Amino acid sequence: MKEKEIRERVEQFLKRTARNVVVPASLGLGLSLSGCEGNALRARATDAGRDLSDTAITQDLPAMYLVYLVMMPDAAPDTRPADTESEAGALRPDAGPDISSPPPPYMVPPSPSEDAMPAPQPPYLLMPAIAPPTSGGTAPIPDPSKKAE
Amino acid sequence: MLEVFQRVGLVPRACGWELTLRCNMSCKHCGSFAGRPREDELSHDECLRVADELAEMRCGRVTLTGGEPTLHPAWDELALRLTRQKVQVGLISNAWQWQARDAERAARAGLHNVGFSLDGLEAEHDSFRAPGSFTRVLEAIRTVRAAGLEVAINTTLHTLNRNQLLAMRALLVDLGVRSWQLQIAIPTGAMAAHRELVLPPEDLLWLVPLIADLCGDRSTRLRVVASDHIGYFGKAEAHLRQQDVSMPFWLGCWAGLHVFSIESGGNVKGCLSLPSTRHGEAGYVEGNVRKSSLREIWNRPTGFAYNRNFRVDDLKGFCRVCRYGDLCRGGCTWKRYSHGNPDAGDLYCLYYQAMKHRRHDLLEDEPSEAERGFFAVPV
Repeated sequence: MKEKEIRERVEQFLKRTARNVVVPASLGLGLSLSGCEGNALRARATDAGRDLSDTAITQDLPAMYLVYLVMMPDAAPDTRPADTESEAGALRPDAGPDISSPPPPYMVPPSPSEDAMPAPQPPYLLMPAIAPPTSGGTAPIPDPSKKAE
Repeated sequence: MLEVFQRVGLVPRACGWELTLRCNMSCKHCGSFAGRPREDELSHDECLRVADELAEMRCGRVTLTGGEPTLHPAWDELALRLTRQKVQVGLISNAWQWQARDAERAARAGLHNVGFSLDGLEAEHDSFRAPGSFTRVLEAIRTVRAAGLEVAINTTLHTLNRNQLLAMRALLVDLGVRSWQLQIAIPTGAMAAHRELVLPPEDLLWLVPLIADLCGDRSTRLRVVASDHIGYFGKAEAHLRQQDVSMPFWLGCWAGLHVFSIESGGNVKGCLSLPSTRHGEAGYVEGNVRKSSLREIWNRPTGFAYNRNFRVDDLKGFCRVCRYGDLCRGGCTWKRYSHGNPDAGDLYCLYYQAMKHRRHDLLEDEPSEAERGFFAVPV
């Protein structure tokens, strides 16, 4: 796809979504002027959006279809004032302390455990393009027969 | 293009949730140094609250991961908590301890699919993970299929398995796998010590078109998916992103725009692959669910600034002159960070490599003067 077509598709999307935004807003204004309760409006929009989203999910539609064709009624950014205390600094102060435990040493492939499954006989094996490297390290692999709780 | 995301709103559509960092394997390419659990992992009650918050935020899809997520004692309870609230849930396991009863638990929890990691044919996979691991993955696939669930496979490409894609594809088709996601090994976490196994960037010149061909193949039920750090643009792009119906091309990193992630200690990031304090980098951590609600963290005006406040002027290297710079925003944030040269642009971009090596046959448009000029001198 050439750059020209890519940009045309983006433009089309932006125009299309602009129309989608305008129509519900106009509808909402009209209903509110005629005395429709605001909460009911919001509830309807939310339910409608959710239903469409769920349908799309169950039909396993592509992700971008979900993203761009489903109207999200609660998509507006939160305009509440930021918690100034927690916004200070590049490192979020409410970020939990990550325990800086050293990473595990690179493994030595363990001996096959007793409950290892029988070797497969796949017809798919190819010779490796490059010989596997020899591994270093001493960390044992937990015994797979003892499943963690 | 950020405007596309802004137009539909910054909505958390998908979440990667690391249930635990505990792992029963120690893979060479593990990006998160999995092994021991974090000392501050969320409690059972905290996990339940997070699940409810995800549903309340209308997060459409949650992927449970780790570490090894099945080592979390309540993985299926949490999955059920989400699916009952109409959240689509997937799980990614290494299959090392997977048994038929796990497949039954997954089915009862309503999982959409179960994913396993398969990093090559037997010798190559086992050399990266553990002897016998390849066989266990195959057996795990069969148990999941027998339970009536779909299987997704993730494969990380490196120098040992780069020539095995066609053989792996045949294997996965025979096993009835539904989805196969391909990703390229990134030198971060444990893989940083194995840079010799990372593909050289010029491999993209043949590998990305091959992956695009696999993505476009509709002759079987297997769907091949290129991960977000594979691309971008040129003739391959439409196949790589063909699941994006209306706009089958890369629109830049989604972290903090439509996706986010939760570490097992409660820290929230735009993407689970992005570094955290364990990697010596805390700038991508946006907050912690113990101290703020997920919604509060997501809606912070200053949050996820690397994407939400992106400007074209932020681009570096070749990306500054690339015709797609405003659309692409410099590629995958994690990849750009991990390759360690923030001034070079995205070396692991097909368009970059095609321009550098004058493989204009891989492109759709004639290079611009600025693009040609960038590589007129060695870089």
